This record gives sequence, structure tokens and C-alpha cells, in this order.
Amino acid sequence: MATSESDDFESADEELNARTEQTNKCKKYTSIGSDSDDDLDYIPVQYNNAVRGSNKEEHKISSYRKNNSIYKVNDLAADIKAESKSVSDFKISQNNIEITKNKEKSNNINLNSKIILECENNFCQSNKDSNTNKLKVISIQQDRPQRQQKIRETQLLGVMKIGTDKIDKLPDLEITSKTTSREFNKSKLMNESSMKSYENKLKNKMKNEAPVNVPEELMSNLKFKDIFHPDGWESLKNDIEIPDLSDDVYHPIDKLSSSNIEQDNSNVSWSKWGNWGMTSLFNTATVGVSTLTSHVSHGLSFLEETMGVTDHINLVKSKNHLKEKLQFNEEKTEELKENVPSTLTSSFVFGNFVSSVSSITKLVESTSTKVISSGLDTLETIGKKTMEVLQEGDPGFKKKRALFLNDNEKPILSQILEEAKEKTDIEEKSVEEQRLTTKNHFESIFEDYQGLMHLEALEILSKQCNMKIQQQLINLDGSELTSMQETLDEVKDLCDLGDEEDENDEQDKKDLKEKLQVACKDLDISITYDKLVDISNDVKLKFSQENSKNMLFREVFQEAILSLAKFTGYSIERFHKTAELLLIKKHRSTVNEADCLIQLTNILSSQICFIANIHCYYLSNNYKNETNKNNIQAVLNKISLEATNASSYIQEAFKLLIPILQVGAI
Amino acid sequence: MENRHRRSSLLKYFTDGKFAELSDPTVGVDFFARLIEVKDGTRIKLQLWDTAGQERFRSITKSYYRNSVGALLVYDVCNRTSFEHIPRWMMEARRHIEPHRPVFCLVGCKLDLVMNGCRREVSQEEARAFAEQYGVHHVETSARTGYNVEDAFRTVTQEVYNRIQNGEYKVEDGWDGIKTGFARPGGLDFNLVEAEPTKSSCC
Repeated sequence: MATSESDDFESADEELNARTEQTNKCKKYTSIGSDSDDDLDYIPVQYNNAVRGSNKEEHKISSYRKNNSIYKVNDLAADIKAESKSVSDFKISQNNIEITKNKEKSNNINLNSKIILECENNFCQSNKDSNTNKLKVISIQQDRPQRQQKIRETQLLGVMKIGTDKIDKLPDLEITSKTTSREFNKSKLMNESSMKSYENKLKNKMKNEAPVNVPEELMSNLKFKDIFHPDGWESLKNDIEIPDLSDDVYHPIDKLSSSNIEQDNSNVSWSKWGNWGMTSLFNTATVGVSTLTSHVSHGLSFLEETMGVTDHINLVKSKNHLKEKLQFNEEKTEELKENVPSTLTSSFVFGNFVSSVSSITKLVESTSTKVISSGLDTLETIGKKTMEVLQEGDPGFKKKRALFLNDNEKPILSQILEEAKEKTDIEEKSVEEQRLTTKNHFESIFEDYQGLMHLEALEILSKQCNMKIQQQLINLDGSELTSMQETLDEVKDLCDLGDEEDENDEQDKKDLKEKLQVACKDLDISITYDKLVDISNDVKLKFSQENSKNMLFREVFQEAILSLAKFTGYSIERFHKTAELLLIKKHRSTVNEADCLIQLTNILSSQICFIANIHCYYLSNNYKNETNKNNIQAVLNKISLEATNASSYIQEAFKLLIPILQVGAI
Repeated sequence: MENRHRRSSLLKYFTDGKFAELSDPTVGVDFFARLIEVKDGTRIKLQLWDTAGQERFRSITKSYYRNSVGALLVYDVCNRTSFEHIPRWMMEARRHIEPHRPVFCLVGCKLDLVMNGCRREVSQEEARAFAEQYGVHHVETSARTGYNVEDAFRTVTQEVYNRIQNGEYKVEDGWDGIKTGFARPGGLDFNLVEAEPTKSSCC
């Protein structure tokens, strides 16, 4: 076993260069002293690794652990990392103390290492029980400020403790790089007894392998114990530390190894850290032991604060045991501090790095807490809302249950659809029938062409005229009344439609338009009957041409009704207009008017007969073979009936004109 | 002639859905009909009597008022005189429809002329004030663009229907203002109520 001092002094120059390189690397890797956002981007990756490592170690117990416990793992792992990274500083302090007070140093190493290991041991246990873990986390966090105060009071105490702790850890880490992680996992699974035996093995291994791979600080650590054999503290160390150390050392080792072994770089960097620590040690050694001590203590005070999380009740307990020793250390470092002013920037940088790491740790912790908790809150809200919506207006899901349960009792969809289709078909059929009936209905068409309204209006006028006549009759008496009665009766007689039918044959030979013009010439009013003429001509045209043969039987029938109704409607309209115009005519000639209106009525009546006959003739001649005789006869009867109906409308209208003529006569 | 065109155009647009230049003047009365659906879904057949505005038909047209349930009082927004005649038409309609209380709607027409730069002679405010004074509806329309035409008739129809609902109007002998619909064989229009708002106008 070569002394660390000799080794270090030999490679002092090389390591000085390596140190600067390493510092740069470290800066790149962890963004030491940088507050940029990039830090946030990078640092979490490390945390993930740390979490994974710790999870592994706990046999995936953390998988059903609650968020808080996970955070704690993160925190702890991160801090542990930070601790291990800050090894160089611890070394410095360690060496510093070694140089100054070797005896004290060796004792402190053991004591402090025990404290930390206990903490970590507890941490492992707490991980297995999420509830207790939670509580512990809370208590620890609450304790933190108090503890930090304490630490400030006893800064040097903290410095010593951490420093020694790291020295213990670092060699372990080196060993893990040598041995496989499986071995460590196995060791975890082993019973305590087997663990102990394994530890002993490992210790041997450590001793054997250390010279080759382990950096100087481990060597120095052993060397201090072996070589210096401290007097005053020796007994204490043996009493308290050794048994605990052997037991507890493993867990942190495992933790660190499992979290860091995954990355080759981490091991490399650890060893380099160790180297860096040694170089810094030697640098500071050359500068001056006292200066170094003060600076290291300064830098580590930051570290101590950030490591608050790792602190534990056990630590406090063990603190009590160590109080005396710690007190001594404190006094010692205070003396040193007074001697030399602090000017070295490297330690400050490191302190900043640690603090930034810890702040990022907290940031990531809080952010991830928020993310997960808000995610769960959202899910919960969605679930609640869904239930609310489902239960809206349906408390206890009674309706919905009924809906699902009664499905079997309900008729089959296809049946319903079939029934619905049948229903619709029937409805459609009836609608179609109605449409056809309406189409064939004389009254409906008559109304559509406003025949009914004009008849009503004509009736109104007729009534008005009658009222006027009656009023005049009331006012008259004697011979005047008699003469007026005679005049009225004469007019009535003039308006006897009687026996006009004889002339029909002669009139048929003439054109309808010509006949109407002749008939209405003496009415002395500006009125035309072109519409009636048009209808009549249309009918004639339709049945005189070849294209009529394409018409269906039903269509001919419809055409007959339509023509009759239309003609009647327009006839009534013309009567109505004639009445209106007669009423506003200034010079009435009742006899002429009566004669003209009689002629008009007869012409219109005969025209209706003509329209009916032309259809009936066509139907009876052209559809003999297609339909049975009863059907044809029924249609012919229907047409004749409507023709009579139409004629009666016209004659009714004519009768309504009589009072209008009478009013003109008096 | 001008007056006659505006009223008939209004009716033509309402019944045919399009503007039409009418050639021959109304003699006495012309008829238009249209089905209109009121708020509760009941279909009402409006039988519209387009009375001649000419003075020589006055003796005839006033005979037609009697069987009416409502009237549109139409004036030309660009013709002050037409507006000033409104009260007379209104009184005449009232007198002839008695004892029934007709539904009136004051309708300003030819609004499209105002849009085209023609000078407006009857302000909307004035017409509205008149309508409020007599407790009648008011609307300005254009048969050329169809603006508010439907609205004018719908307003009257709804009011008539409301009065039927509250019992003021009912089918009765001797008055044809309200009639049960013509029962067609198919029964399609069986429950129709027929109203006859007479159109009147100034001249």
C-alpha cells in the first residue's frame, strides 16, 4: 500500500491540469453556477436515473408508493449524488484535518459515516412503508429549517461530518465499479447475517482491490487508520462506529452503485472527482493548510444546508453521542478560520453548484408533484362530472337501469320498423286518395277558382239591392207602391230563363265568343268573357286532336270535372263583375239588361252541357274495351251530375242578379 | 290606378310570393286566398277581398265590409294624401263591421321607392304614432322586394286568431267574418278557420 501523499505528489502536476479539465467537464455536465433554463432541462435526467436506481434497490416497492415517497426518493438520491460529487471537498477537509489533527480525523470519519449510513438505512426502510415514509418526509422537511439553524451555529461540525461521510462512500463506489451490481442486489436480498459475512468479504475485497482502482483518498483513508493509530479517539471509534459501519455501509453503497453504475461516465467522473479532490487537496496543501480549511468549511456550509433532507432523527440521536467530538472539531476549525481570510473561488463555485442542484431538485420535485397531483385531480373531476351527468334527472340511475334491464321485454326493432312502414304506407295511400278525390271534386276546384267567393260577394250585392228596394217600398204608399210592385214583377218576368233550349242547336253552330259579344252588347258595360271562351276552346282542342288518345280513362274524367268547375267559377265571377258594373252604371236600361243576362245565362248553361257532353262522348267511345261498363257508366253519371250542378250555380247567380236589375228599374 | 296597383301588388306578393305588375284595374272586388299558420300550429285560410279603390265603386265596396274580421289600411309612404285618407277608411270599415270589432293593420307600402331616393312624405314615427293612438299594428312594406309583406298579414292573422281563442270572435249566423273551413272530402282542411280581412285603401 503506497501512501497517498507520495502518489499524489508524484502526479501533482498532471493532476493539476486534469483538475482544470475536470472542472470544465463538471461545469458542462451540471452547469455549475449557471442559472439558465438549460439546467432545468438537464438535471431531471439525473433524477430519473437516481429514482430508477433507488427503485431497483427497493425491489420495486416504490411502484405502488405514493407520490410523496417518490419525491423523497428523488430528493435523497439527488442529494446523495450531490454528496458523492462533492467528495473532493470532503477530501480536502479530511486531508486538511489529517494534516492538522490526524487522530481526530480518523475518528470523525467513522462517526459521521455511521450517521449518514443510518440515515440512509432508515430511508430504505421508510421506502418500504409508504405511510411512514410520508410522515418522515414531512417531519424531515419541517425539521429542516431548525436543523439549518443548528448547522449554521455549528458549521464546522457539518463540514467535518459530511467530509468524512464522503470519504467512506467514495471507496465503496469504486468497489461497485469493480463488482457487478448483481452481487450487490444479491447482498440486499440476503439476511442480515449473510449480509454481514458478505460485508466482510467485501471489506477484504476492498482492501485487495483498492490499491489498483480506488483513488488515493480511499488509500489515504485506510492509511490514516492503519498508520496514524490515533490515541484519544481510538476507543470511541471502536465502541461506536465499527459494528454499525459494517452493517450499514452496504445500503448506501448499493444505492449509489445501482443509480450510477448504469452510466459508465458516472464512474469515470467519480474517479476523476476523486482525483480532482486530491489535486485540490495538494494545491491547497501547498497554499496553506489553514487557508484550505477555512475555504472548504465555507463551501461545505452550503452543502450542509442543501443536505438537510438526508438528515434524520437517527442523525440527531447519533449527534448526541458525537457531541463531544464534534465540539472539538468545531473549536479546531474555528481557530483555523480566524487565522486565514477566505479568498479561494473554487470552493465558492462548488458551493453554488450544490445550491443550484438542490434548488433544481426542489423545483423539479414541486413541478412533478403539481403535474401528478393535477393530473389525478383532473381525472377525479372528469369522473365526478360523468357521474353527475349520468345521474342528472335520474337519481340512482333508476331510469337508466330500467332502460337496460327492460330491453328484453321490448319488441324487436325490425318489428317496430315494419309496423311503422305499414302505417306510413296506409297514411300515404289515404293522402294520395284524398288528393285524387280533391282533384276530382267539383266544389273544391270551384272554390279554388274563387267561384264561391264571387257567389258570396254577388249574394251580398243582391241582398243590399233587395234591402234598398224594401226600404223604398216601405217609404212608398198607395199608387206609387202598386206601380213599383208592378215594375219589380215585370223585371222578374223578364228574367224567366224558361224555354231557351230550343235555340241551342242554332247557337252551337256559332262561335262562343261571337255569341257572348252579341248577347252582352246591350249590357252597355265594359266587360269581356275571354276567359270563358278560352276554357271552351281548350276543351274543344283537346278532344279534337290525336294526342287526346294518349290520355288515361281517369285523366279524361278529371279533365271533365276540372273544365266544368273552372268554367262555372269564371262564369260566377263574370256574373259578379257584371252586377258590380251594372250597379255603378249611371243610366240603367233594365229590359235590355235582363234580356242580355238571360242570353248570357243560357249560353253559359249550354256551354256547360257542351263541355260535359264532349267528355262523356269521348269516354264512352274510346274506353269501351279497357274498363267494365259499370265503371264507365258511373263516371258518365258523375260528369252529368256535376254538369247539372254547374248549371244550377249559374242559374243561382242569375237569380241573384234580378234585384240588381230591379234596383236599376226603380 | 296607382293606388290600386300598390294594394293588389301587396296581395299578389303575399299569395303568389312574387311581385307582379297588374294590368287591369280592380272592378269592385277581387279575391285572394292563402293558408297561414299561427303560432300554435293551427292553419288558417285567409280569404282576402281586394276592394277597388276607385270612388265609383265605393257604394259597392262598402257592402263587402260587413263579412270581414279585419282590414289592412294601406297608404303610400311617398304620398301624404293617401295617409291622410286612412282615418276615413278606418271609420268606414268600423261602421260596417259593427257590432264586431275588426283587426286593423296600418301598412305603409312602396318602401322600395324611398330606398331608391324617392322623397318620403310619411315618416315612420308619424305612422307609428297614429297606429298607437288607435291601437292598431303598423308595418312598412315593399311589394317589389317583399319586405315585411308576410309580416303584415301574419300580424293580422295572429291577432284574429287570438281573438277567436279568447272568445271575442266566433262562428255565428249572419256574419261571415269567421267561418269554419270548407270541409273537403279528404278532410284535410276540416278544422280550418276562415278569416276575411278586407283590404281597404285610400284614394
